[in-house]
Amino acid sequence: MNLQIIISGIGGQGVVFGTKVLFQAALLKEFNVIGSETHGMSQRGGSVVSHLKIGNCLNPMIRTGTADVIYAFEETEFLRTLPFIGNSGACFVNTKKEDLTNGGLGMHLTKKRIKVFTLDAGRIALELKTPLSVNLIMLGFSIPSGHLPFSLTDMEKTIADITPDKFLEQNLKALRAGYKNWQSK
Amino acid sequence: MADIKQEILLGNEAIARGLIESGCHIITSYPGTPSSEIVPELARLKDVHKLDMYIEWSANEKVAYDIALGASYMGKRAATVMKQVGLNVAADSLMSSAYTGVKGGLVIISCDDPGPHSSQTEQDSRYFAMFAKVPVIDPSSPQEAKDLLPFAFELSEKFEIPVIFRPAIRICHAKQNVTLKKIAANPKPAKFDKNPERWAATPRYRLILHRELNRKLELIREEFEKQKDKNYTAPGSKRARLGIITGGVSFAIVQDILSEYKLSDKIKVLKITTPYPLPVKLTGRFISQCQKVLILEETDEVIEMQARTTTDRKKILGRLDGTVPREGELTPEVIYDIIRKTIKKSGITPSLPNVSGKLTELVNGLKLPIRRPTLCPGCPHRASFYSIKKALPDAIFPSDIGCYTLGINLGAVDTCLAMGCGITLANGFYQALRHDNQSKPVVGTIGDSTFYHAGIPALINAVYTGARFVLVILDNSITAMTGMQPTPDTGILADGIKGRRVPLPELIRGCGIQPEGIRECDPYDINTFGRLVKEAYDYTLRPDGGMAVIIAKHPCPLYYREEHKKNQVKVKILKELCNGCRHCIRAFECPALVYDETSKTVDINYMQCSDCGVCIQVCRQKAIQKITD
Repeated sequence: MNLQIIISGIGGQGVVFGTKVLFQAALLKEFNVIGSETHGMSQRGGSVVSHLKIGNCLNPMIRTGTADVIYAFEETEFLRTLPFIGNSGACFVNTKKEDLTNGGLGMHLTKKRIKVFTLDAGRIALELKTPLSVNLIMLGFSIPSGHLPFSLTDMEKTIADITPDKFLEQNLKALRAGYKNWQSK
Repeated sequence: MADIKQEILLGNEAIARGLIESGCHIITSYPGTPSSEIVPELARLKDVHKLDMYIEWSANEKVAYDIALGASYMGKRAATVMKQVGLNVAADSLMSSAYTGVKGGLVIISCDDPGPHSSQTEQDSRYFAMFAKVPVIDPSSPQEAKDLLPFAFELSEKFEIPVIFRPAIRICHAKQNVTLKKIAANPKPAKFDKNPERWAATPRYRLILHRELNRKLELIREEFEKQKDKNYTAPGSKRARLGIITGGVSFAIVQDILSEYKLSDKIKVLKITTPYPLPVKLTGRFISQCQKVLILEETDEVIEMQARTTTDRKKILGRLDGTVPREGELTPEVIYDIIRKTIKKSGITPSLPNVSGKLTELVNGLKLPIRRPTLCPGCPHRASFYSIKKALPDAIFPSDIGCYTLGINLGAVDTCLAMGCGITLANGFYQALRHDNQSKPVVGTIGDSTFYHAGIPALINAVYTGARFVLVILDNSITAMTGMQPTPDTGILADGIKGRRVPLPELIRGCGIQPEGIRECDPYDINTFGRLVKEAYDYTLRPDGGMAVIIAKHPCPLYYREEHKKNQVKVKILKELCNGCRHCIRAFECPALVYDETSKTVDINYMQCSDCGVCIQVCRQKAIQKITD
């Protein structure tokens, strides 16, 4: 199993926790996994990007044009990290916009068979009264797409392993809400 | 076996684990990116496994180094942890201790920052090892970093020499599934074997120690020739058109590219885990088996310089002939491009495919806004800099290293050089101006942790030599930028236990500042603070005056969250009073204040606002007001 995932957002959106979930999910399935995180600039309003590579990789960084999946919890950070995606890759973006990639950019993505799946995870998070759960909603959203080697059960088990009891129910709710909202376009 | 356990670990966490798997139980450090996570992880491991360990956040890296060295003089395994520029601070002791040697293993973990991402230089700790004449170990992954530490300690003890261990930032902040080994005990009792000829060697005897050191290095080089699991060639010993000599993070990047494009049997690779002293026989043999050799290493040409002494130098492609850039990080994209061009030149076909930059080009065309780092909403430093700049707009502002360096966004930071320079450069500026009989305000700024690190001799000097400038110590009661570590002023130790406080005002008095020269104020009170800045400057000009120090005291709202919440001031903008002058955004720069193009007024982004209420005093139209219900 070889899979390269980028997770991006701004400080405070839970990019690091989202990455942690994916790492743990990989560990549970006994995949080899390596990646890297941005540390330190996130609280000062900066961009946060994590790299995660499943497979027998030694290098923790993904090269531009070679990622299989991008999770982006914010639009501008999505566009900023878009150059990482490889041909036939899939992007899962938290946005209210219907048409995030248009014009020349949209045409290029279509030509390279790169799919962009959008979800207004922010709205769902507010509805669930858990404003900080955009990360888990987006992870849940991506499961039915088939681009991840994890099932809903895999992810629920992972989250149960790493979440303190008092947050477990809300975390699972967020994951499942994202999962239910999947629509392949 | 119960020992086979895997965990997802950050590189720094793997290093912490490696220290306890090595039986190292005395660790000292000063915070510095990318090394800062090692000590907190050690404190956690100590607690979880109930280990008998001593872990310390020292006042600075020189002090940290010396304490670890002292422990190793007594036969204990000790480690000291710092970022690469911290090694500069510890250099005096490092250089001297290479001559005296050690007894218990001493490992210096010096974390490099090619890029640089958050340092004043991207200097190479392997180069420092060469300068100090001590061996250096360069891991290529978190797992390897953990597994190499026992070897580092054994090496240090076998040859009685300090050993530098240098993980680069991409190891420190990498995450990987890591296989754990058993935690080792440290049975060696503390014992000092008196030997003044060695430990207190006078200059004449230092010559003998130097001769011994040079001999040790050659023995270590021989040792490295034999370490086949650390320095090895893949594949085998057959000849090749192109070989790559590499180590550290670069090795990991090269390996992934070669296996991805199935070039592993066309291009030989020599992994070097011990770049100094370089196993030159092994390296020479490798070079003789290749027509061309590309050397990929970070950050300087340490392997390359030594390799070029071995055989036919014309074969070697590296930094010295312009193949590899002499500055900047060797990212996967940079390495990919160098390998692609080199393969083409060496006649191997096919080379790596050309990279299409089309997507990058399209995204660059979008001109996305850059999120520059900025002080957090509610940061007391913002209030301090606002007041300083308002009170003395024409001053020169030498500053220092910490969160407050971001005061540059408020136009109140003119220099940032090295630890303590907020005071020493102010001193230098003062002397230069005085030399010309010029009078111009100089306001130096420095953080509390930085002051304990390097500020004290600097302040003593200013008093002693009669310098006259304003120093503002930005005291937020924490070492914030590096991830919230305690300071001697907080009196909390690395493992959370209460130590002894060394309070700041007494320390400042102790440096010789007169009582009339010291002022203390909460910077949230902008009017009072601004007045004190003017008073302080006047004090420096009075014939009976002197150095002026202001302590800007307010705890970091992020770390001292509960206390901050108790004093919340919720604010709103009265749109009818806001004239869109944007003084609040330009001069105060709070990220929670956002200009709305449509209404041409300022809005508050309540997701970001920390309810500090300071902006109320900033708005010249009195449009920002407290919400009272």
